[in-house]
Amino acid sequence: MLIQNFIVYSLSFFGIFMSVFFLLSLLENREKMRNPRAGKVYGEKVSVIIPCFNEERIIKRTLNNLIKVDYPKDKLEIIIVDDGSTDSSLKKIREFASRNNRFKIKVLHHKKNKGKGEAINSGLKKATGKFVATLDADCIISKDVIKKMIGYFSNPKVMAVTPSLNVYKPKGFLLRLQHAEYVLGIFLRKIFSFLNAIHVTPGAFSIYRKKFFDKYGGFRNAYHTEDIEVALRIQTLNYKIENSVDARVYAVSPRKFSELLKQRMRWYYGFVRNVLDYRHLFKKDYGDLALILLPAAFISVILTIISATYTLYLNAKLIRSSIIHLTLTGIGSIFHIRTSQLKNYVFGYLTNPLIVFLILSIVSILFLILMGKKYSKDSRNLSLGITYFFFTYGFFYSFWWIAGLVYKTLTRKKLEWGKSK
Amino acid sequence: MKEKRRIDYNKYIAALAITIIIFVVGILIGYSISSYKIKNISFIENQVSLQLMELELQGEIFKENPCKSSIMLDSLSQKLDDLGDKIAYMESELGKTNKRVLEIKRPYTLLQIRHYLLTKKRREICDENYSVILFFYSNKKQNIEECENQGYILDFLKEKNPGKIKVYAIDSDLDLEIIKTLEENYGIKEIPSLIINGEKYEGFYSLKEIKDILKLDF
Repeated sequence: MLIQNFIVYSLSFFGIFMSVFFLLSLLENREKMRNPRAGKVYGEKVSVIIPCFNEERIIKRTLNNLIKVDYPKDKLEIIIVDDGSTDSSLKKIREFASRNNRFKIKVLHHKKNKGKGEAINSGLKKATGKFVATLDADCIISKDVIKKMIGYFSNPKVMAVTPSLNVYKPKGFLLRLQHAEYVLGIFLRKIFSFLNAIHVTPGAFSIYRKKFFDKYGGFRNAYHTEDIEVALRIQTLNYKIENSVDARVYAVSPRKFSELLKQRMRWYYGFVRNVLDYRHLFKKDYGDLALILLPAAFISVILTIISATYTLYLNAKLIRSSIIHLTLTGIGSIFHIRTSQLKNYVFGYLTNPLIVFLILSIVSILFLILMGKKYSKDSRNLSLGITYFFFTYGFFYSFWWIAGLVYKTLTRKKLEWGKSK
Repeated sequence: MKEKRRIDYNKYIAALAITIIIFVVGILIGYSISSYKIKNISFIENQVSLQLMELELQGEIFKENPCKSSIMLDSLSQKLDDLGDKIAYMESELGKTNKRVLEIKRPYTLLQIRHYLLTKKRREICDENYSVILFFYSNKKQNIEECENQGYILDFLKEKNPGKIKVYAIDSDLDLEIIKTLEENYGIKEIPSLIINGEKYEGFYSLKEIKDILKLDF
């Protein structure tokens, strides 16, 4: 009983504190929720680099969607880097380029696969725009993303702008679960931008100031999470990373459990290793990022793992006794539970003093998710996703973290970025 | 571009203060819920004493007209079940060895035994077609799992055949003379044990075995 109380109290205290902190940050910055006008920066040349490795099935769709973007054609440069694909990706890319020669398209080709970071760097060398965007080969961007994001660059301190990253066509359990997760992330990312604490510029789609790469070098091979490395580098040099909460970008997320697991192991392991490399961020000089957000990230992981494990332990006992009961009386006994027994059980559960804190935690997270939905103007149905999220996310999150750290540390396996992004 | 970032300490303090306030309010609400539950339990205690007195009177009336008093016995049966559920709830909230729980279980057990005797007698005299089961159980470590399982089976039987099977579960660990008397009377040496329509069955009995004994055909 004591352990249960401690877990619920600490988890909810932490959750409530973070939610209140985010809410205060939101209130403080509510005028900044909207994107700044594009102004003088609009019309500057933007180079979009698309690294591609064995994406023959989807690359054309991505490219056809890209050219629909609302930006002057002559100021848009499209650089597609085929990173040694062994399928017909290069052929499809060249077909696209020749069919759309009214656009400025450059096609680069690596004979051998060099990795995503190097592919983008090849693109950077040939990029002539003042701004450079990286786009994943399977991502769909809304027409207005550049218009919405570019205005932030009016501030010369801004080196990167991140979008409102969401899930493409969320159908089925895992995708809907991720849908809720991403929508929560959309809101959190905007709040982090107010605190100048964004720690990843999503490879799915982000826009950078080219001057940054010219001065500080391009992408580095960093544990297959180059987008985290770049963001931490920008933060360390004390530049700003902004976010547009309604510049909608849709990523094709993993549908199968094994793919999702691989992706998350890569993300979390990469996150830890990159943060370790940039350890010096943990000094007071670096503001909210160092003082609160990175430690909070680690605390939340630990608390989630503890509570998920304990919940499983409690439920294991319940499941075990239910199984024993069923074997004694046969499956039909489920229909013969007395209503008074059920009433007492529910009553006992609902009137446990801890339930107040459970409700508070749920309400605060629900609030964050709904804010994300509102500000990103995501009109898709989120109710199923939210339900799946509340019942199961803690378990998945804990599992991904433990699996990521344990598996990757033990085996030091390299995961190919092309097949399982 | 090396600019020192400012940390807004006031915001952290405000967030901490608000969180503490919310937390304290939450604990207060939790506390009032707990005291509500304790009041609920006192209410149950009063009900049991009342029921016991009622049953005394019923017993007297029964002696006059045994086969006509079915309605009263049946409604009391219902109340007994309700009380049994409430006591089970108390056990889950306060624990099976809690003093208050044991204090209520004693008059409740007397109530049960009284009802058992009346029901059994009525079955014999008025030629009714229900079965009466007296179930001796214990919450001691070595018996508790078997007894819980046995109890679960009996509950199920009762639900499946409403009105046809009457179960009286007696906690043999309670400090009551009447329980020892009953055990002696039936020759009970093992826990769990069942007295089905006056016949002794010691040890754990599965669903099928009990169904065979009662000659049930569902």
